[in-house]
Amino acid sequence: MIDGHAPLSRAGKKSTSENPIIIQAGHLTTTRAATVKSLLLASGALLWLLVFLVLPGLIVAALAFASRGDYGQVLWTFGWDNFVRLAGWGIFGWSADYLIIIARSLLLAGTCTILALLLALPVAFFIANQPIRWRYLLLALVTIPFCTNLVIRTYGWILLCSNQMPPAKFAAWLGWIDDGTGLAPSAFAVTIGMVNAILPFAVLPLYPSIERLDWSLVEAARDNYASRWRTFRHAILPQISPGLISASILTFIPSIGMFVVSDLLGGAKYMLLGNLIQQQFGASRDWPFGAAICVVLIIMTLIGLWLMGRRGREAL
Amino acid sequence: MIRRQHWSLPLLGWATLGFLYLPLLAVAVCSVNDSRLLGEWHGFTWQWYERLFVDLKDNRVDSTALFAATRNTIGLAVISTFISTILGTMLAFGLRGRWPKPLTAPVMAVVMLPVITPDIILAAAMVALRQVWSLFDTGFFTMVIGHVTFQVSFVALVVHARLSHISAAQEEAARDLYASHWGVIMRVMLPQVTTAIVAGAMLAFTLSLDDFVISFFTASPQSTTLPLLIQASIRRGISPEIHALSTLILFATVALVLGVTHLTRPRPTE
Amino acid sequence: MTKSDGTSVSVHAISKRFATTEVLRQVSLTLPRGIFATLLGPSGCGKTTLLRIIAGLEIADTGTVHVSGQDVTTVPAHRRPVNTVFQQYALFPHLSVWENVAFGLRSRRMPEADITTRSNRVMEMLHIGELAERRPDQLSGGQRQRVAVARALVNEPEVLLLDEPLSALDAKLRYDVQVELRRLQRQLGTTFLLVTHDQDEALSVSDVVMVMNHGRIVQQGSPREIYDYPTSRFVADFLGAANLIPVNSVNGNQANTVCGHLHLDKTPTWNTGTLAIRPERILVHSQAPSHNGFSGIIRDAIFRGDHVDLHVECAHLTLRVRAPTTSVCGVGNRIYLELPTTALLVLDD
Repeated sequence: MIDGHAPLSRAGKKSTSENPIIIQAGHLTTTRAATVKSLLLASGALLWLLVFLVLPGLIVAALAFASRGDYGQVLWTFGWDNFVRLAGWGIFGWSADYLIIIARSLLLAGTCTILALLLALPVAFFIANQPIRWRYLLLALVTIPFCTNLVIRTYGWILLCSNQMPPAKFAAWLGWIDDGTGLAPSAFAVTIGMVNAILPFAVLPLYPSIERLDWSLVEAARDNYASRWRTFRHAILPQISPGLISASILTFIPSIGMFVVSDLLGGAKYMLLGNLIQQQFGASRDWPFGAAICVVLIIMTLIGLWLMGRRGREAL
Repeated sequence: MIRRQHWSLPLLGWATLGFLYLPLLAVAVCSVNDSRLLGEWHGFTWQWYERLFVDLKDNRVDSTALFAATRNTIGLAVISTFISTILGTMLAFGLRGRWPKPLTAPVMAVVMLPVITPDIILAAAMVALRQVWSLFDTGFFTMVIGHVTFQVSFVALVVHARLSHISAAQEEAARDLYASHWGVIMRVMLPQVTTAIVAGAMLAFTLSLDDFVISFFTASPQSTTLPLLIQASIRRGISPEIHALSTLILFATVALVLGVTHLTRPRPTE
Repeated sequence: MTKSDGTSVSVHAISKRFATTEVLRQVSLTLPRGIFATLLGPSGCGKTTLLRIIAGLEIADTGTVHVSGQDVTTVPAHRRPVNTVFQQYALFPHLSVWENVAFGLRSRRMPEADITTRSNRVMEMLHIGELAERRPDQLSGGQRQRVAVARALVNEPEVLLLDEPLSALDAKLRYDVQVELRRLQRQLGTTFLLVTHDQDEALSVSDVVMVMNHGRIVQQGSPREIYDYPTSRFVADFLGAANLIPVNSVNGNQANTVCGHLHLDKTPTWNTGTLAIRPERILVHSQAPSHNGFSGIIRDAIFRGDHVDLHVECAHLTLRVRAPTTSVCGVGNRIYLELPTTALLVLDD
């Protein structure tokens, strides 16, 4: 049957049989060839990210230590002035304005993350409890708003919060707001708009860990007379905590840097870090100061990631 | 497995889903209301949609500008998706290979960077790049660069997730059956991840359509996109034409999402 | 091509370590062409790694691999005249059965007409002709196994490597496939190298069995030799059941054990060591035998249909005895066992 079987192996060198060291070299060349091919494949995207993300990121970091010229140009001096200014010391003495903005951004991001998780949990449990073919339909229902333009969704909230619409009229009737004023611009409107914006970021990573949940542990807990809370705390929470951690990371990051929602629903006085950055890179043309705020934002994001702990980083 | 559920669970679930759709519904309903005023129903009309295509005297949206913005948005999405799909797919294949130990962590960090960085920072980075390199001045070209930068990782992650379902044994079997390195990729891996590549491309496309922040910082007046146009109009005040335009974009997104869901749904495998 | 020496595979002094574990230690083996050889050993003994090194999927740290006389030590898998049937078959799920089978021939850019003839011929031989258009997920376990074998054999390899190919099949099917593999190997005359941890499988299909343990080949020979004359405690115990009897001292041809003296037909090289005897070679008597007899009490008797497994306690030793169902075997009874000189194995360790 093996007639004229073509020799497939030509690369083998005769000399290798005596010298194990050359085999070592052969070992290295074959794995190195595979590695080189992998590197080549990845190199396009990696180079792209290096040139258009890592490099500009470094420029932002450098800009943070530069200063603004009289006409908005960048002066490549080196100093901590931008950070000192962000901490409140300006030409007219100390003011807490910027620190308030930072605190407000953190508080809002934290509140929105918690609210989104609280809303996301029942939704994820609800979807995971449906028959399989319904689950994908319901997940698509969560994905659609997620993929809808944020400007349009925020616009929807502008409409809903308008003084001509029922919600504002109802609030006025209750005496919560003055007659004829709308619900926006306000901190309340920003919070609702942001929770609405980031809710899918919480549901989508939570869902897989809830779908995989091992219910026999819950039954075991019930069997041992655990209360509802203790069942949740000891039988469910440990299983879904990776999902919870990645959900909180994925909601916290966009909410800390958000500026569309606060720009449209918060009004001119309600500034967040995002708006401040936008202002410096836009109207104020103070890029070095804007860059310094970016650096602070990145550091806060990194601290957030670090606080989520090791498991959080793995969950990502 | 289906569990007996407390009555409050479906109630909460549907209520939250309703909350997600509330703003979209508000926009859609207002877009067919025959009145410039909110809060009162004056009957059904298509007139705000018609006005998007015909210039009338009292139009709040200039249909020439709208056409240009639509063209820019779609052009930007198509070109950036094309580039990011190719780069992202190659990246996913590259990530599957053997990497030298010290390189693995930094490479993964770079890949995850666009996913975990707030988009305002990505935008600021593009502005900073322009500061040192005038080639990246505001305009369509810079917008494409900015979009690809955040799309590429998402494409790579989607494709990589599907690739990781292909057992290493299949790769070895192909090598054993005389396939070269490229042969393994082209004949064994690629055919099994085509749907994931399409899904990744559609995700990249929606990300591009959605983007406001990066476009805001990199667009020139000539390369304005629909989200920018809408935001600018909103700042001038609300108008039914914007309702109509937003609703149209909304339906385009729904179609895209349903397409992606259809392609990525789990199916019976080996 | 140097086929004249009639050697399919020769492996010389292969060593391999993963991180800190030495998986293979200076392993050498030679397979004459047309033989059905088996690497048998417990999991973790290095048998699969050795197979993968021959396939080119793993590179040895030291040592050489020759296939039909050519040094292929540094040749990557896709240029070796060797094909593998993988443990979980690793069929390509996106290709039909026919396309799976034709994969290797396509890789080698064979003319389409030849691909068709050769694929069809192999598929006929394995009785999977009707499945040509099916996808792997539409096949049963046994059918997948045949496709995997066909996919490898169609390339007419110098050696066919089989990595535990039967472990995914249920016991009944496994027997049929063993017979089938044996028939196929005889018909084609291709060298087969099978890796398994199942001793029944190794004994029933192979011409040569190589028993591996801790990264070494500890014994090799025909199934009969390996079974009848194990040289170590490991081999005696791993292949079938064996009673191990410790020897305290040796006096000429006589060994002193805890249960008494035993006559051997040769003098052991050691003074204290181990003897082994298979349960089915021990004879059961109701009276003391004249020669090499032990007396013991039946502690347990397990009815196995065609025989009874007795656990007999002699002094501090429990011996397993495979007795005919006709023998007296009440639990608690005293019986006499005869350990024939010819059945006693003197182990090396």
